[in-house]
Amino acid sequence: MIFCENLYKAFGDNHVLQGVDLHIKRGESMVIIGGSGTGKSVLIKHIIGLLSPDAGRVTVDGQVVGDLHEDELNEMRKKFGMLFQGAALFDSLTVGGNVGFALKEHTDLAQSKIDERVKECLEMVGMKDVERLMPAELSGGMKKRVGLARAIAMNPQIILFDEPTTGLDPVMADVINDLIIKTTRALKVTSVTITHDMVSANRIADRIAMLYQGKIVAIGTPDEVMFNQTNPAVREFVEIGRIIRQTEAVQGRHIGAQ
Amino acid sequence: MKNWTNEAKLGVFIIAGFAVLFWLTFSIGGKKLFSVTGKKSFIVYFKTITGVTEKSDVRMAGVKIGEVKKVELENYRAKVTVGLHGDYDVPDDSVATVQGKGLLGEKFIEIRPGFSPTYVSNGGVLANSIPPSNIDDMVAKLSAALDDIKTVTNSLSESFGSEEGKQGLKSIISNLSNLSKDLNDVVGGNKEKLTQIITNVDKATAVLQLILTENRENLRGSISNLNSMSKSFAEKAPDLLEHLDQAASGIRDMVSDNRTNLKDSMSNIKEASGNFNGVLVENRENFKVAMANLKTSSEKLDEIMASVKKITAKIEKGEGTIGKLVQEEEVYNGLNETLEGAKNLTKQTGAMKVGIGARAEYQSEMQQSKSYFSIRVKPREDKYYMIEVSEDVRRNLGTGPRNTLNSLLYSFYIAKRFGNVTIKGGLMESSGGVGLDLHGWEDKLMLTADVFNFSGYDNNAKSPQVKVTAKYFPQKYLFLYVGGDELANKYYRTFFGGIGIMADEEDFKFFMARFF
Amino acid sequence: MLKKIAVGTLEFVGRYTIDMVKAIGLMGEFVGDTMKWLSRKPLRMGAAVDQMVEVGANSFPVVFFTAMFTGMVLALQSHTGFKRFGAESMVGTVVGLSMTRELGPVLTALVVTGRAGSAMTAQLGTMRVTEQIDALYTLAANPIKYLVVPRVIAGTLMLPVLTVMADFVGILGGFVVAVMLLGANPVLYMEKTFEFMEYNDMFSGLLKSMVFGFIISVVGCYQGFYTEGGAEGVGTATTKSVVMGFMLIFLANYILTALLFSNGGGGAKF
Repeated sequence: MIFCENLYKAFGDNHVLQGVDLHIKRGESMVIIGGSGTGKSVLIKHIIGLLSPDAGRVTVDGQVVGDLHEDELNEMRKKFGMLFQGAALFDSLTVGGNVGFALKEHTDLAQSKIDERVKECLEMVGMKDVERLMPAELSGGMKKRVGLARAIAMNPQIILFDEPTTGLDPVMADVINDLIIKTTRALKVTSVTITHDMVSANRIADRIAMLYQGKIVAIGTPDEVMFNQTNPAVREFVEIGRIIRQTEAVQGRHIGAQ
Repeated sequence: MKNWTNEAKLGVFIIAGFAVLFWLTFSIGGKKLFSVTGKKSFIVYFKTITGVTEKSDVRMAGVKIGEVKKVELENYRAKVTVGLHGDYDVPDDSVATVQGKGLLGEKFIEIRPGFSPTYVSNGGVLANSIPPSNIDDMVAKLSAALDDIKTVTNSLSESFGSEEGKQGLKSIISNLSNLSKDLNDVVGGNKEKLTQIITNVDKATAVLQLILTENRENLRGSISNLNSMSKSFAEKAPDLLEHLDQAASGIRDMVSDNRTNLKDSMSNIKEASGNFNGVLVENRENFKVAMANLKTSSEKLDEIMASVKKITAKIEKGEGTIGKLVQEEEVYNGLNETLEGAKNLTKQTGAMKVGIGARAEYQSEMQQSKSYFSIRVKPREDKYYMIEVSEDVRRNLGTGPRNTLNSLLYSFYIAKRFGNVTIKGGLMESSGGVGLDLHGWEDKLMLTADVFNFSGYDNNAKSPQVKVTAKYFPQKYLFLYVGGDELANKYYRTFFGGIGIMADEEDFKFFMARFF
Repeated sequence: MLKKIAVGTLEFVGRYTIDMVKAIGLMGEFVGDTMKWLSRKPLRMGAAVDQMVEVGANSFPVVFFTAMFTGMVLALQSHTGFKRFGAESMVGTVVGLSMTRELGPVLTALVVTGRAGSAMTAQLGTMRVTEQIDALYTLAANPIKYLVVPRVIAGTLMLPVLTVMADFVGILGGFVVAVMLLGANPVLYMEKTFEFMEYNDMFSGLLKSMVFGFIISVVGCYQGFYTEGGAEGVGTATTKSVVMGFMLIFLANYILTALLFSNGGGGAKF
């Protein structure tokens, strides 16, 4: 479904991506892990066409993202939903306006239909009667949920999550993780998540890819990445995940990978 | 203010803006708003008219009565065409002068009214003009002259301010006294002759007075002119007078020093006056005859004048054909218009301009384009008739089949321009309407507001149709424009922008010459 | 050592030039993009109305204050000068012409730059650093169209309206001072104000203010749109936006006046 082939990207002297190859299959939940500043966000922005690579190409459903005209790019983007790190809700619009934004812009639906759909999406992320609030009145976790509701409003085929649990307390992080699992399964979407939170990665990943020094250094199921790695950098990074996974195996309440 | 919608706030703001714009426009234009230089105009030639340009004021007794329409060079003279406002008339013996508002102010043409009962004809020439005095030249000359005088008086007072000079003066006075005695003797000897002369002169003055009475007004005018001239001179040149004073005292001193010379000249004068006396005596009879002749001719003149007076009186009362023609305003105007029409006919399309235009715009909210086809008939520069056909794009909003014939809109309106404002009225887009054009920036910019469809277009739009357009003419025949239509009706409200042409014969010629 | 310094200097100059050319290119591209979206349907009139209120109506109090006191001080100053050669009656003319031709448009533009231009930068800058602009892209909505075009429309249309009001208020301020304080004849003052004024004086000012409005909104949006570096970056961008706006306004003012509206002496008759 999504192919990244030999991607290179540099900002001045900072060579962020140095030949990234990645294949994301339809319907799977891919989690890209890596330390801060390793270019995870840059990679995800290439997938949705916010950045264009210096070399290499990104293909989505057979279309090369870099070759698309503006209108084609917009059509492609309608297949995506994206949840930003800080939710990136529009300050000037109400919660309802945020969630219904794409519906209003890209469909001919009547306002009442849009309102209905907004309500449905908000309920899906566990929120009710918040349509009239402004984003400034929401807590961080609530913003993320509204962001998710906005991302799923247009029934996307692919949802991108940019650090979904960063900045949240562990309880709220858990709630968001559950929500991601729930919605992606309910909607049968492909999801790409970038995170450095191994707890989160462990919970939601079908496959995990690790980005290190501008390259994918490890890819596979969570078990493969956590237990069968020789690369010391990878081993160190996934250590906490390994511990969680072992504990869960003991307690028998492993939910993530089935 | 807190509960106001943004639309309302913006509305208040924009309306206030336009109100101020109109106030400023009218304030600037106020002096020109009624400067509809009417039908009357005449021509004045000046030797030079530095500072007078097109649109300069023309004033009489300080009151603005018109403006300069054109300034051209003809035979090395400035030919100035003056357009008069309204009903003003200028006597044909008036004098045109160039005046300035203060030393540095704007120049204008001042007409000093004459006293002739007849007026300068429309398109005629006003014969009398006085070129403006060049202030710089004047000041330079004056100061040079003053310098000279000063030098002379200085040297004079140095040379003659002595005791000797004073003595001289004394002897002059005694000489003068002797002289007057002599004169007395002369006069006494010729008493009879003198009496005769005086009688003659008396008669002559009587005749002269008769003549003068007839021309009293003229004289009064010239005298008052003289008077004002001398007054202004008195005001302007106290310095000069002072210097003259000094000069006089210098001369006095000089005179006292040349006593003997003076004495000689005095005796010469004595001789001369004696001779004069002789001449008078010898030619007494001749003088008499001459005086008599003068008298008869003046009498004849008097008769002629009287009959002229009778005729003009008749004309004034409206007797006779000419009298009627001149007196009856209607007849006069009718004649004038007929003549004008005839002139136009003979000139064929010279005055009447027929322009053809088309424009197309894109309407943002309707999301479709609308085009117009126009014919403009312009019988006069400040007046035109507009015939226009356009498409009613509002009909295309519905789902029914499009019917082009049904959806055509027709306009036929008349427009008249006053200065920078054009008022329009008539049929606008198939309904009665009125409109206002505001012209600016050398007619490159035009703001239009039209109101029509007063009872609304349909049930969705019950308010009158308000259309506001701003046109920009980079060329005379080409324009770009933006605006809003149906501003008062939310349902059909739309904004538009487009391009158009409106060209008459001349423009086409220009266009062809330019591109082919 | 010397060689090092020389090379370093050259490198600095080179890099600076490259950066500047890049910035100009980026700005050109930005303006081009804006013009492209400006001509595309449908224009978001709702957003434009909001911005018009922000740029126009809400800026009015500041513009009012500025123009009023400028007109007043102009009357005072020119009176002082003119009194020395007995031309007090020309105060109205000077105030009127200065306001309509120059001070009205320029002062309004400066005030609006400080008030609305910087606000545009702050808003767009915040949206950039909180990824709201990226979010717009991912929702298949072009931020130039959604954010920049309404602001540019508002700036370009509202500045002339504000300027007309500034002209009016300035003339009024001068009138108040001249009549109440300096004892001028009110009728004569107004007459003198408009006696030498041509339509061109006012319209040239209004045309200038349109260009200023375009500059203010484009610069404000540009600086905000390319903000980098979090909250601190927003602050820097706002400062840059005001400085750049001021400089471009003065530059454009001179160029426009020199090219379009100065005819040596006399002045074009309307």
